[in-house]
Amino acid sequence: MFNSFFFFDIIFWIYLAAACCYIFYMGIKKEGLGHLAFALTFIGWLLNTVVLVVRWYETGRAPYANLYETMVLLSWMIVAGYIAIELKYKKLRVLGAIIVSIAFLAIGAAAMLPYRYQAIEPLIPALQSNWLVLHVVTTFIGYAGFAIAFGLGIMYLFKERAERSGRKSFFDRFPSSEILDDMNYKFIAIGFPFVTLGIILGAIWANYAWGGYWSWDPKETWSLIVWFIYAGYFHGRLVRGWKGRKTAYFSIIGFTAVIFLYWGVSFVLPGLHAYA
Amino acid sequence: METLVQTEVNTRQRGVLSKVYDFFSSVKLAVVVFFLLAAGSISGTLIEQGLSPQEYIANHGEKWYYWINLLSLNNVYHSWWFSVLLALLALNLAVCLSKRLPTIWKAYYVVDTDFTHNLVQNFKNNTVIQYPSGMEEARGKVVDILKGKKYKIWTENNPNDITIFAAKGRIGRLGSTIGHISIFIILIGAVLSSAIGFRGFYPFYEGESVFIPEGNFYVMVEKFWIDYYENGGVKDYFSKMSVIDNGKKVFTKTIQVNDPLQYKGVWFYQSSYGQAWDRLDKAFIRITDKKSGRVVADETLDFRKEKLIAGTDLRLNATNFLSDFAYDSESKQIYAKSGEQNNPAAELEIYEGGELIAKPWIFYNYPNMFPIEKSKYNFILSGYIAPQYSGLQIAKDPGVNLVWVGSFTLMGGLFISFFIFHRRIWIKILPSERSSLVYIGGLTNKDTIGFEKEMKSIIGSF
Ligand code: HEM
Repeated sequence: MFNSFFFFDIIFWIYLAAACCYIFYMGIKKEGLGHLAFALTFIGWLLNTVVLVVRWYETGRAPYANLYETMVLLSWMIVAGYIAIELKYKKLRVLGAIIVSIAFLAIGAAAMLPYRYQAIEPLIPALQSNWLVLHVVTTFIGYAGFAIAFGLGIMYLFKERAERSGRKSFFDRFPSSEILDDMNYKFIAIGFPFVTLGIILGAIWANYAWGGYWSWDPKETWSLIVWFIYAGYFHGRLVRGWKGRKTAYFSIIGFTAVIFLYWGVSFVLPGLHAYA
Repeated sequence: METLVQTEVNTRQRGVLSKVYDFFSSVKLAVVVFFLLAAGSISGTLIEQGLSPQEYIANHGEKWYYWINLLSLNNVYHSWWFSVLLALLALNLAVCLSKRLPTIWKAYYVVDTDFTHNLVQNFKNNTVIQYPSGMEEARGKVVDILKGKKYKIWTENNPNDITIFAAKGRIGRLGSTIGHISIFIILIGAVLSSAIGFRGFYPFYEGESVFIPEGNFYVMVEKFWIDYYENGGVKDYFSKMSVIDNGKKVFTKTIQVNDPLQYKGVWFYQSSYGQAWDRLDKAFIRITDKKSGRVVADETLDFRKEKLIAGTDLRLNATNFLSDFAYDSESKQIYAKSGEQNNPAAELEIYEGGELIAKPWIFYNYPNMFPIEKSKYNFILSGYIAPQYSGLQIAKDPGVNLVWVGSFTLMGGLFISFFIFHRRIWIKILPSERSSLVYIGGLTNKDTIGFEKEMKSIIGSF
């Protein structure tokens, strides 16, 4: 009974409850609700850790080998990133309304996967490598950074509109658009080097397993596309002085491409990575 | 007069040249090229690559095929326009770097001790502190605080005031340059890879030594085997390989997926396995009498070894094999259509009374399709054993080392650029009655929020 699916079901509900608390907290402004939201998030994250550990025990290998396992890992990283934000900037608690919701959606998407994608399958020979663990972990730190930046980008768009209208609104408790913009850059600046490292580790691994570091399979190609999009973001921002709405849109488009890279390529386009 | 004309031409030339220079150094161009490379890459994942013209016409229709062919959309990543985009990116990088390098170097080296207290008050982060003792004490305090925050400090005592300049993390300024040069290195490595790198797939059969011209030595797969999971899935597969150089066996290694062998810069990767498509271990031949239909003999032939059939005047030899027999009517050649055992066929030499009377292909799936007219027997391929091959990828690629060097420095550049910030603080200490006035102003190239916090903490420490 206490297998990884059991704990998985629990974190599904806890993250949902935490996200709801954060959303109500935005409107009701009761500090108690904020504390509750954070407590739920933290407990959810601890149990998320348990899911990963139990899964590791069940499979006898690092649990990062299929879509379901990587989704659990992704939500773990997003929530870890969010907890770090909340501990560092106590005043930014409302950010949870979007970021914890994204983590919840990741868990929800994993829950909706057909059973054959969730089941424990023995590893095919190509995946039996320590490079797999390095490649996946760095890549997913990067994705988590982009996911958080995506959430911040959306909040920026709402907040900036509310600021322009000058009226009181639901978004008053959001940090100022300037801070959101700055944090958006910060998380993309975390995501980008890690995704770059993930691509490089993938190339080293491919070279070690197959004798070619780049073969233009759809997953590789899409990771390059994502990389170009965020490189565009940096140059627009640093050199051409784009700020605010333009960069917020960029972080949203970039993460949409990440989702396609992650899910779309696996289901829509055939290729080497079809298994994960 | 002559000189005047010449000058004019010079200026005009310089005008054009500097426009070209500006164009190739502009970051706008970089963003456009990123966009085009991304769009081109997307097209390559949406349109299947490397199909035959017939397949494209069947999937997309004639009209689309015209465009696919014209724009090389069937081979995007090796098309002329994709290469042009990559070359443009490299050129853009080189010109941009050469233009910006002096500025970056200056920002890295700058030590600014020549400023007024008015300038200090112009920074976004600035404060004036009344320090309750003399200028020298104030200076000592400032230096202590900034040292505690790991700043590097330059101070100057002037006749009327004290100037302090402090900075840290200036290496952060070089991160982006290191990163950009790295991309250049990676691109060069990739060009080398495709120009002089070599990569190919070869089937190896147990016990055969194969000459490797790229390294001038022989390798042999001594043994190949497969491990299975309990549920029957393939767990892993292995080849015990030995390298034979100058007639001597120099070493042996068992390779598997994710664990290759390397000798003299040539790499051998375990990449697949399968059943032979062009050879046999054994062929099982059933010989029947045409008239009575009676089975005369069930014989097992070794590949390419003649065998006398006891009780007859027959000699047989299985000389060739194809796993998926096909015939190309244009070149009049036979070949294996695939590596699958779809239409197995063996070529059989039939000697009767010491004379070669026929050399037919006989088909496993279609027995007795072509009876041998000159013989009173029918010959049926009733079974066969095809040897298993170990599929190895062989590669020799000096470019790959440059790619790794570039990748490594790229990561260094990115981490330096994103996580080390260049922070500078300008301080002026002026005398005041029985105390001193400390003007503090600061600037960071990134992470404004973090810097504001640090400034607050510095000011709070007085
Ligand atoms: C694939 C190619 C490229 C990648 C991945 C790339 C990546 C980056 C990154 C990540 C930054 C941000 C660095 C930071 O935040 O400090 C940056 C900044 C910059 N890039 Fe690029 N870049 C590329 C090509 C180019 C090209 C072709 C140019 C020239 C037009 C260029 C010019 C710049 C400039 C001027 C900056 C300003 C920041 C600085 O120097 O501190 N980049 N680039």
